[in-house]
Amino acid sequence: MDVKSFVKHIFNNNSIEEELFNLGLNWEEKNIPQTVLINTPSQKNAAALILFGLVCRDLCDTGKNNKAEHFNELILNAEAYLNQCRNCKFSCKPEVAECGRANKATNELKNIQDSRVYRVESITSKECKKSICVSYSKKATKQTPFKTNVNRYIQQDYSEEWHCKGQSQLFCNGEGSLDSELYSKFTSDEICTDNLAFSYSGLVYIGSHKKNSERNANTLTLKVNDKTYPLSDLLTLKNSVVSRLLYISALTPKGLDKHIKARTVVFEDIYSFKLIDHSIFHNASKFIIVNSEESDLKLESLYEYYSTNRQWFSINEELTEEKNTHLSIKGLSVLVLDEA
Amino acid sequence: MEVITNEGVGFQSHFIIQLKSNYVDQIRLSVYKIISLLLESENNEIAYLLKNNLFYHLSSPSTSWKGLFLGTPFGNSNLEIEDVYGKDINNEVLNIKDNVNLTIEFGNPLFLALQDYLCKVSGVQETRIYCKTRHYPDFMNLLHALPEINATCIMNVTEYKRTNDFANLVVVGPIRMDSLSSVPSYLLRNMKWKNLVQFIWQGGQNDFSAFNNPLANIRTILQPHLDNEIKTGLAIQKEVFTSNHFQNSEEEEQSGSSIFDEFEKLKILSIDKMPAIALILNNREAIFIKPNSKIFVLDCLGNDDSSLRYDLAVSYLNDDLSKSYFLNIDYAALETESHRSFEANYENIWKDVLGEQEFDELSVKLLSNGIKIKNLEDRVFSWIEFSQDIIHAPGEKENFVILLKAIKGDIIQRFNIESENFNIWIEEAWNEILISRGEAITEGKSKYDQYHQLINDMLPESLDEIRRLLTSTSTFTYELKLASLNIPITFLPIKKMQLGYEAPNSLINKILPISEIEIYK
Repeated sequence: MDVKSFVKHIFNNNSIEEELFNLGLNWEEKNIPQTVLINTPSQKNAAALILFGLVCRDLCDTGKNNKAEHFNELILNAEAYLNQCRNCKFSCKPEVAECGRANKATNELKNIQDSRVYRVESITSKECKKSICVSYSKKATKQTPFKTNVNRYIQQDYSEEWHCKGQSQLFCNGEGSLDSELYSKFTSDEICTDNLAFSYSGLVYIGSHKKNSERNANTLTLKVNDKTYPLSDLLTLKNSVVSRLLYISALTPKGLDKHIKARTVVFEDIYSFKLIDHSIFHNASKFIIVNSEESDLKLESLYEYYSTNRQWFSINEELTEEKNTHLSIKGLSVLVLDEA
Repeated sequence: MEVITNEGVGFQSHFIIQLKSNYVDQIRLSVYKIISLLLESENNEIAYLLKNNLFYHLSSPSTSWKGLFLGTPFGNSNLEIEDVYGKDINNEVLNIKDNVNLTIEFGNPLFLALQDYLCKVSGVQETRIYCKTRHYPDFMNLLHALPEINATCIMNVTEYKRTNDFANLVVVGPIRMDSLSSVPSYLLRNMKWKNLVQFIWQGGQNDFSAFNNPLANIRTILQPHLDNEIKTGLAIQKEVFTSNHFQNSEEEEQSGSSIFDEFEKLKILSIDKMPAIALILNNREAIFIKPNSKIFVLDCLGNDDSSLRYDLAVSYLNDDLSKSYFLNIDYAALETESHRSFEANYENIWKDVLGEQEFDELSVKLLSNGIKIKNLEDRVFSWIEFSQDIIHAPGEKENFVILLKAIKGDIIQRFNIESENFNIWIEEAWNEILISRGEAITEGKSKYDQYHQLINDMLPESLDEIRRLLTSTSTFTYELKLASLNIPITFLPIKKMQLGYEAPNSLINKILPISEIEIYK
């Protein structure tokens, strides 16, 4: 069975789900940021379906993993912690401290080999090569009656096993990586094997609350080769070591920071779009789901946003036309805006 | 019946039934003339009332239009309208009365058209009528008069959400962007209906691309020069319902050409205005105050406390105002200070943990503690929301304790809190909430009253100081810091006081350029 008819089959000929998936899958990334407004009939999993398309798309793109930037990000976080957050007297109130951060830089790192939590101590540089010094303390035992600190150094070439506590790890070998056979069924392009084992945070999913988003995604389960998968698992939102997207809850914007390099952002609803500081995503393409269940009040606020910022947007007629001709479902339509 | 557009045959259709009636057209034109005349002669209240009555009759299937003058002096047959309101208004009123009698005689065309339509379709198709609450009795009268029909009324979005799919949605009046619209856009966006049947008076216009596709609206916002020809995917069909009794055909054409959409025209009639007193401060500035506002009046001759009075402004209307002042509190400056002045250490922790709970598990845990919460999810969302001013949390301490105990395991595990100290921990977390509430109250919405109370309380102590300030300085404004509170207060010297203004609520207590206040006279 070829990919197209498989996808058709998998979505049970439910064309709206298929079309939302295809919209994400076939979306080409452009150099200039774009906003894509998607008007859907009452469809709770619209955001998840588009994201699933985008996840499958990104799996086929060699550059789409965190490998290259990983050490850099560890260094950035460690520097921010050592220089700013460690001695900050505001106990993480960025709007008072005016530090430009949205969240505290973490001082806790983990290694995938063990379960210990390491604390950031310092950054040392030798011949222009930086390394992060981390430590953990051993409790006193009979043999070693004093508490001792054990230091370890994270270096560029050996940093892949390290990750910040609370964030997904960079990669995993063997069992934890994603099922190549499964994902290759959804896309006709070839999947990069590297991507299946590496996390990627350039794709951002913003919803009001994680549990809620998971539930919305799981209104759909897909049956592939006699196995059923809830959509949130396929999105690597849940039950997955590797994560192919970054989830941010708009209510408690944990993990939302200026340095995240989002390429594509999907907003689950107008509410989460409204809550987020958009300057962080000014270089990213944005997908905004406009559900027909949205209240008039929320729509008003969306209109207001576009009327106050209208000088920054222009309608991309060509792409809007092109995408809309592919959509045959009543009530489903797309508006593509170029951002200045 | 003519088909106006029929593009991409969708599943839904939109029927517009236009109502034509020369006597209602006469009434509408005359009412508009009267309203303009009333506004000219500053009889705003009557104009407003008349507008409401007109809109009521335009969207309600009352049996006749005889309620049009309800509450206005024109309904009173003993009143010599010509003497009070002038000849022009009198002529129009007489014209309206004639035509209203015709509606009594032949029936309200809207009533007849609805009746006609419902009899035709409703026996076979399930029909829902969207109406505003105030029109409900009229619709019910209509429905009761028709036996064996399958039609009910929907009055709000919640009711609509509860209904299953049905055949016809009936609305009366134009579909608009503003709140005057005959139907909330939610009903149009979530199509549970197959046919939208819109009854609209001749001249009435749907002012926004009907079937508000939000994207089409954003398109219009970004490209307002394009006209709103948006493909709705709906087949629109128009039909004209002509009331049975035309007086003659010439008149029909005459009135038909000048009939208009009063929803558009009369929108400008502001409802927000209220009577106000204008305080002229100097040659450039003035301020509107509410009629019951107080001002400071300083009597320089006496030395005792009573010489500075804080009293109703109107009682000094005829007095010499050279030593009176309006107390202006700069609320804008206060708003910026409403951040928390303490550090919340516990909030982040329990909100974090709470946010990650499975709702099902949590509700079981709470249930075992004897608490059943309706809409647990919504509640939890509201509790874990962060705010600048107040820590959102359950209202009662008891409930808060149970809630935290339900997630005790996770908190302890995550943040290394000693298990035996957990109760103290809860205690402190609760104190934090109390502090935030206390602060929010002092800075909250009751600010205005509270500060006024405070100022009144402090006046005896500060009178001397204020008096000294007011008498010694030659500048116009003074700033005063009252005791521990840092309230930016200005005393504005009043030069003149004028009655007879009607100002929008938003302009009350704001300093305006003097040229602007004339508009509201």
